[in-house]
Amino acid sequence: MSATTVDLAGLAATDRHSPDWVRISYASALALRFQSGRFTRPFAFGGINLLLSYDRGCLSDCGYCGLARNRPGDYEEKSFIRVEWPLVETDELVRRLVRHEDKLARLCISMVTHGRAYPDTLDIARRITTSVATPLSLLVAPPTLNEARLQAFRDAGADMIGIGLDAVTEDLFRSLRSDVPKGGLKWSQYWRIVDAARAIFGPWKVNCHTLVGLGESDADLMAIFARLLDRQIFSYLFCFNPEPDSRMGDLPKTPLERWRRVQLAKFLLEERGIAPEQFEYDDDGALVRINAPRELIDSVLADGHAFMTNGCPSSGGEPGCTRPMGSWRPTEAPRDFPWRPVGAELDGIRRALDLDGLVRPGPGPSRPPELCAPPAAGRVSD
Amino acid sequence: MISVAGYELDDGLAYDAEHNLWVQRLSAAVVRVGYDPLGAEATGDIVAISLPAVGSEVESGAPLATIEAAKFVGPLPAPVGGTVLAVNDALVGLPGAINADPYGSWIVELGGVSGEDMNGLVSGVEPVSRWFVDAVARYRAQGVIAE
Repeated sequence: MSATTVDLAGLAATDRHSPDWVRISYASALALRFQSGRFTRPFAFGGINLLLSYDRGCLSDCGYCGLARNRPGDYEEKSFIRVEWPLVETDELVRRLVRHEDKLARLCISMVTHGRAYPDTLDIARRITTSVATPLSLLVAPPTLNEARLQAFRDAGADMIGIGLDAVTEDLFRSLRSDVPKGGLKWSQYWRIVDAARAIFGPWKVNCHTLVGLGESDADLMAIFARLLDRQIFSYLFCFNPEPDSRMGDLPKTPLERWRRVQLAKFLLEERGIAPEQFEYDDDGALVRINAPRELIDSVLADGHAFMTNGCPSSGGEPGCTRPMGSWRPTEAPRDFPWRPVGAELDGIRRALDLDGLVRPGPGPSRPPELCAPPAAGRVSD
Repeated sequence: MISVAGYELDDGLAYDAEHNLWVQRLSAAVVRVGYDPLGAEATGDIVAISLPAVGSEVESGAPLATIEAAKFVGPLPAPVGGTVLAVNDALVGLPGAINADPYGSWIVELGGVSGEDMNGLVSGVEPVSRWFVDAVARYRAQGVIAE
């Protein structure tokens, strides 16, 4: 049962597909008032996430994903990132974007792997960019794309491209996304699109989604962060949160302690210029030591940016796509904060990190500031 | 039932104006409590509820239960003080019933309720209507009910 009071009746579900219909994240539906409800803590939220919608859904079959074609249930009923994505009419969505534009920070259309995904994404992108000035990202499905199509997205007004690598090593990608019952994806194809997007959209205009908890090690994660940093491509961090009934639905959620360490290490590498060799791992690749000045670490903790949601920014560079409760329930401590954590929230982060055991004195930043990444969470003023 | 600002309200009940809860008097000092239609809707899709222990004492305004919705978690404040006589265990397995049928989804039954607490509630067609029109306007201004 839904708390929505917007009447979507009148058409059979099979008639409601992209480009004339699109799914919208629950938080976005609240912001645009398609849906009734509230956040536990009121805060400025303007990151609107959309998802293409088709009868047969996504043709990929990734082991962890709520939209996987072999996950039980009808596509209409499937959750994605564990929550309902209401289906709305695209033109009504655009009207509401116009009406609420003063509150919007960033828009994003997520493609799915489907034969119509490219033309429909282009169509929806044009409908949006001709109506509102809020910056638009596209989270793309590489099997549907090539260089010309990426260029067409840019010409349509999209300014940032996301690629959902999710699995950060080729072996892991193969086991979770390639060697699957149906609809296998190719690691090499994903990287071809990463390269093409970087060439077309430019530095710090492309991001790769990296998921913590699929079976990779901390060393694997830090290696891909460094690889992308050198190419001026953002890594956006996501926390594995098992999707019920998916093939990985019974696996545990990424432990908070590990997640916090990865958040801290990533931030130090990308935004504070700490060299990769200053991070030590055990034989299993788990991060066990950071050799860096304690005062630097303490200042990062006090600042809180490192623990905020990674996402495409607003036109002014402030946090845009913040995905509130995208990987945590309202009853849990936020995994990634859509606001800047303070007070008791920072105390909780400190407890999870156990800095006395993690940090040893070491050299300061070695990467020049101009070669560090811009804030992956956006700039937050004091 | 009366229709106010697009909502159907049971005008035979009393209401906690601050928290949008209904209070049904079962006998002189015994009441049932639940969300009114606006309170349930503004919370969002309710996905979990934790209920108090039968026999526990609660003061007016103190947390009576915890409600978790899709993007919200928070206490359900007691509209009146009393002793918890019964809880609606069926809601634990089907919390969305509160959204679907707010009046049919009583949450707790309280005994030992004082007349003073009951006098603090809104009741009667005219007072309920006036209060509810204002409440809807307030929620709309907060942006928590759908357009």
